[in-house]
Amino acid sequence: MKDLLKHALDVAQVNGATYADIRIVDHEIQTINVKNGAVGALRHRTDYGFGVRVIANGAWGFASSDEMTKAEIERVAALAVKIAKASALAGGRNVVLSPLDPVEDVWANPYDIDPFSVSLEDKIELMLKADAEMRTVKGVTITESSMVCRRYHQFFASTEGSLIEQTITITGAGIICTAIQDGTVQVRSFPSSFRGQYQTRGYELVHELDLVGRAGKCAEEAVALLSAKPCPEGVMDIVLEGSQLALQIHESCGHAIELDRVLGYEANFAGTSFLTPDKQGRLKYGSDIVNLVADATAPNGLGTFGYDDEGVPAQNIPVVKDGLFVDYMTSRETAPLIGQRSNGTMRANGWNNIPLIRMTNVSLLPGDSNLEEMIAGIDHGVYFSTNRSWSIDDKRWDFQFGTEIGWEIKNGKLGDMVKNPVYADNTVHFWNSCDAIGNASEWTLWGTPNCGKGEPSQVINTGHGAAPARFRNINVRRGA
Amino acid sequence: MYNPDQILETLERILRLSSADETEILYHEGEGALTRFAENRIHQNVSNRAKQVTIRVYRGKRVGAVTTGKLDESSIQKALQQALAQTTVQQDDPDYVPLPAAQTYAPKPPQFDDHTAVCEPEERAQVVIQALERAKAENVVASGIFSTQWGVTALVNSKGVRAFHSRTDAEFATTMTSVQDTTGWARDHNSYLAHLDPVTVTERAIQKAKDGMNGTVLEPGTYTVILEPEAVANLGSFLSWLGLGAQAFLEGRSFMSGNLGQPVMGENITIEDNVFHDAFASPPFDYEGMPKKQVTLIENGVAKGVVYDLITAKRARTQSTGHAMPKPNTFGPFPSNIVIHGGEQTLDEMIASTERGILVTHFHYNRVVHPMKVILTGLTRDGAFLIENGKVTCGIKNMRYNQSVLEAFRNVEMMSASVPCGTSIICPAMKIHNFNFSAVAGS
Repeated sequence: MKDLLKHALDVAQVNGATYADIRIVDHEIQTINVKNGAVGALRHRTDYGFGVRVIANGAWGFASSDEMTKAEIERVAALAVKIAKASALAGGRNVVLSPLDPVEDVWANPYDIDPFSVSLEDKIELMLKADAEMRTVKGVTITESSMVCRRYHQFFASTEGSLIEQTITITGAGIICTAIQDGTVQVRSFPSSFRGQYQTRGYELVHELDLVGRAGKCAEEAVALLSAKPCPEGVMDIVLEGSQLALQIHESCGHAIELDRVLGYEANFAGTSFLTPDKQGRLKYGSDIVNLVADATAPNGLGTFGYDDEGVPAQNIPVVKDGLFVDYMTSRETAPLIGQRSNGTMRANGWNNIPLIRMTNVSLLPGDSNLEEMIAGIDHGVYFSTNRSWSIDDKRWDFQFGTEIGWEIKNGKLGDMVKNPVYADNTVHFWNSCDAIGNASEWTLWGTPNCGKGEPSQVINTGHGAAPARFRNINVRRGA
Repeated sequence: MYNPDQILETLERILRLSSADETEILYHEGEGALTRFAENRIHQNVSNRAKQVTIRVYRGKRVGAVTTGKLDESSIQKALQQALAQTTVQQDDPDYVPLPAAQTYAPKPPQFDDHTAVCEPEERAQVVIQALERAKAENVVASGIFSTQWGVTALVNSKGVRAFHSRTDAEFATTMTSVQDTTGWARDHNSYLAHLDPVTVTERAIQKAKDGMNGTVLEPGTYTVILEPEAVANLGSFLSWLGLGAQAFLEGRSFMSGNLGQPVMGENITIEDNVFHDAFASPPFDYEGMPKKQVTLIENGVAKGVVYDLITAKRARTQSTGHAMPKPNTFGPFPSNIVIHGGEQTLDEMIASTERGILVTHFHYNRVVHPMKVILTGLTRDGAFLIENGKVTCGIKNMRYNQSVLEAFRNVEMMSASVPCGTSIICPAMKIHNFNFSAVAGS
């Protein structure tokens, strides 16, 4: 393997690269989807290939292939340089990388039970049991349970002397129950939407989720939502459950602090950011109790790794400190543009894509409150749980979220279930309205496995830690 | 590039290796390149070559499926063994349908262009440089993409299906940003690079960015809108997966459920799925090897039908329309070559007929709020303009909409001819009254 890696880098340099790196990735994923009492889709997928990224004449080039032969590696390395030289024809700023000490290391995330060591029979049996449990509830129309086991094994080498072998093992599972009646569709998911909870862990996560034990309640809530009262409307106080707050963080903070977006790299697709560099260290992003970090070192996080795909060690970066916006997620190319070194957030989806700045585990640190106390402090409001729809503008400012379920809060107590709840606001007003955050015992590191960015589009895993939190004077309405 | 005979020979070899009762092999191969620009320079520039097979086997009514990008002999043997092993832990598939026998596919004109397939990075760079130079001359900042690619899809099975399709695709899209941070966007798409028109795309995006300067802010509320085709495509594409596939229809979660023969949109709306439209480069077969049929989905506003694969057709006691998605899946068939029939008016005529309204280039971050009513939310992006007394008078700040697509398609007053918007939908521009905007966006 070392010889292949070195050969690719040599070929790139001989062809004129001033910098080159190569990633060889072997990826395996097993997916089980049970629907309405039967295995609807059982899939096993592997892919294997390599990508060579170079700088030549001050510009980037990248080429990749799934043919692991010496001749193909030579073709691809030379093509990457040819592409870089074509990039340079357009002129503009030369790429300058922030300094990085070369490293040789082997890294893997820990787990208790290798998810690929558990038999298919056991996995299917568990999914079918959870599915059957949901179907015991009268009024249920569609039941789904799913599980994903994934292993990502990568070699990274660069012309600066780094050689890193990294293995990331991921497990995820969840259940979804749908109730349909008279033109109304209501959905409940557990433990979160987007097919459940995902972490860099082993099969122990599936055991902890207790999908079978939670299936009945999930189904009952889906059916109850059919006849639930409409969500109240108006400006009121709200509490967000942790998994909904996780997506709120993802959309309104995580994407906004990607420095490539800020610089306009995503202007044609994902968008830009309202967090322009003049706001760094100056903008009161949130209230004094709001502390957000981008922590690639967090144990079990779906955005956890040892090294990013430029070979930069994983880091824990304060992003918002006591409400003040203090830092971005950066790369080796973008960090020098704001006078910094890379804080290690570049990741690629597979061997056939270039790394981009991607969220690691962008999390809201725990506060000192708790759910009961937060609800007790509201005269009239809504408790929102489990994301159903999400939309935010191209600068990450104006947003609207809908959740699967809500409960009216009246006189400090949780009241009636409400259906189709929606809230909308702008990012800075919203985070400055936060006056209570749940404590560490209510904090969960949620996994979001479907973050999209880039052209060609790349989907990547991100993590978001959150406890429930309270926000004052938010615009609440019904989605239908 | 690729050799069809060699590919089919490889797939035949895999079929011969299989000891399953029934075996299906789906093959994809392709090579693509994408030059991406921002800050008036090329900042990303990539190329990729890849292939993969999905082997689906049946032992009795028990199914197994493995996808791999490793096509050497031992990896294929391993994949086959894994697929067969899956059948031993499965129960009988309650939806089992035998794999189809050999099919005949209606011919399509070739949509493979050698020039597009082998476009060199220097050629892409020169096209981008022209756009960058125009941007600099107009004092706007350019970002966007120029991509070229070729792809092959082949599907064979042990019952005799032999299907093969190749295509090329080129796209140029750009967003121009003015000194006032207003943006304009446009794109073009074609199977043939020579037919792509990046110059016009560039000029349209520049003009929109500049026209949006010194704009105004409108109050949220209900407006007459003129949606350019890309904006209609943003809304119309949701109809496909929310309601025009048989699975959603049969499960009762589609706006079509229980409504066949009933009006669900305005009388001027006709929607079909038609892979044989000249603008589509998709294969004339689906992921079960069945021939794709032209299907009328909505006719003069009336719900006429949905698309089927073999499984949903069996459940509904009808025939497959050839719209299976890659198997196995739990979401069923979708129409993927949507044609929304247009009208005879031009965009200029729509604007001239409007006393007060909003012209929308396209929408951003569209999401489902209510699936049965097809209520979506999202925001205008890259060019929203106020129309007063039949003329575009100024740009407006982007606005968030919350709108049922079904209702919107009941309120269509005028339509242009339909044009391709990307690779899977063909749409007209539409003038629509009572379109609901709930908020103004922007910091």
